Amino acid sequence: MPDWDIEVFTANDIHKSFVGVSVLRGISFSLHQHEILGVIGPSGGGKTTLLKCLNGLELIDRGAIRYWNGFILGGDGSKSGNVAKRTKEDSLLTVRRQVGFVFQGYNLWEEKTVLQNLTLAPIVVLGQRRDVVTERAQDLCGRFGLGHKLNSGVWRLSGGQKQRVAIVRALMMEPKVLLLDEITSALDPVLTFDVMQIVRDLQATGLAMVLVTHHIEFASSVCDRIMFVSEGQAIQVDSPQNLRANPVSEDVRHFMEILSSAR
Amino acid sequence: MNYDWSFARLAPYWKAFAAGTMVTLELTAIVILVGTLLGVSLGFIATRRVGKVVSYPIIDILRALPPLVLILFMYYLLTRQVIGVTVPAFWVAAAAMSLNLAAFTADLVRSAIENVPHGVVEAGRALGMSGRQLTIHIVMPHIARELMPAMTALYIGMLKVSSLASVINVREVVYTAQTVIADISRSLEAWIVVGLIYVVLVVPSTYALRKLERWNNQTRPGQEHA
Repeated sequence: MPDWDIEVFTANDIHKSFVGVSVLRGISFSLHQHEILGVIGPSGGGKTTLLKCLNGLELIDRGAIRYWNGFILGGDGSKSGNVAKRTKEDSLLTVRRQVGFVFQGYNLWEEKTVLQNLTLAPIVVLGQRRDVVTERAQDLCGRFGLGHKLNSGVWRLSGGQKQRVAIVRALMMEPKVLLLDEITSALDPVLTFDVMQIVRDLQATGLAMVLVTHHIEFASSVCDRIMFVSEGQAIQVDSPQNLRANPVSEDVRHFMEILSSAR
Repeated sequence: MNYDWSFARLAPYWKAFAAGTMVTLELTAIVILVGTLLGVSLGFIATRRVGKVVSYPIIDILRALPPLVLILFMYYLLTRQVIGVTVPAFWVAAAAMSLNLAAFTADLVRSAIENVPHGVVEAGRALGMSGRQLTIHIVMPHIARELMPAMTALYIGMLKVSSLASVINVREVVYTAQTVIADISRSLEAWIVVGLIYVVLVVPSTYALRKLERWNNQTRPGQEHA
């Protein structure tokens, strides 16, 4: 169960635009410890950009994201002097290390083995010892049914296995929170079920997650709250039951209906 | 046909040919080492906005010049009259060929870096890697893999280009043949020996290259299988 008193991060009025097109237009919300927050909404509504901003892959233009460890990514854009820039860069890297990201298209290093994919960042970025990291990789792979694939090249794996490797790669950094970007959209129903099961397993460990998905049934069953994002704004943030029962707008009601009937 | 073949006359010169072969190999090895290092650096510089301004003209001019012209130009440039010291012909040839190899390498490296799939780099960034770590652990291994066949072909080409060093009296295989011919006037035989030496050096490398390509194709993505 989420601990509503402890916030993992709080996004406050975040804005982001790309070459003049504004993608995020003032989104504010918090993620709490042990919470799973679902993000749904029409394609092109800014869901992926939102996740990238939360991990620091994209820098926000305006607003601020305050993290549990005191780090703040802000869009004030103060670039005065090298020292300030350095600190900014450092805190950015720190945020990325602790906020795990799983991509829709896996983004694995195809030419490396599963083990290399898993151990590279902990060794290089966190400076951890190879034997320690390898043991952790073996552990996690065993848990997620990849135990026999450790030394396979990633290019040999199926889509479902690749997505599992991508999830384990993020977990290897021992993140405080995991951002999952439509991780089942490239998979067939059986594999989708497979990956959903992993999310449920992770839920049991108490890891906080933000889950972008189009599977409303799945989202309803695992998420503590669901946020409806459209045209760069959070239209409604509510429990799955409330989102269905009391949609704040015609848009939300319509979208929920379509998603539900598509199942 | 009443040419009187006589390879026996060449026999006493086998040591000279062996020494020439060694010079050819040394020259090629040095050129591969220096040219690759220089080329990779230039290639990385050429992917930067500021670096482009400097490196593009250098790369383009070096690529335009025939290796022979470059060797002759550098031979007359690196003399006592121009720079104050005379550089030995061997090193002049090594420098000219290295520049030639570097220019072609730089272009390959630049295009390989620019074609690294976005997701590959993004995944590293999302895990908190710094720019330096991305270059060393993600970009470099990726392009090394990508460029291996093309680079090997360039290296084999350099072995052959090294014959041009004979024009500035570097005592490699071709120069050796010319001196032997001057001695005993058996041109045909001497050139056959030279040809054989190159075949023996190049053909195994070509086989190795093909093997490498096959391995490269089998052990990487591209051929998605269900």
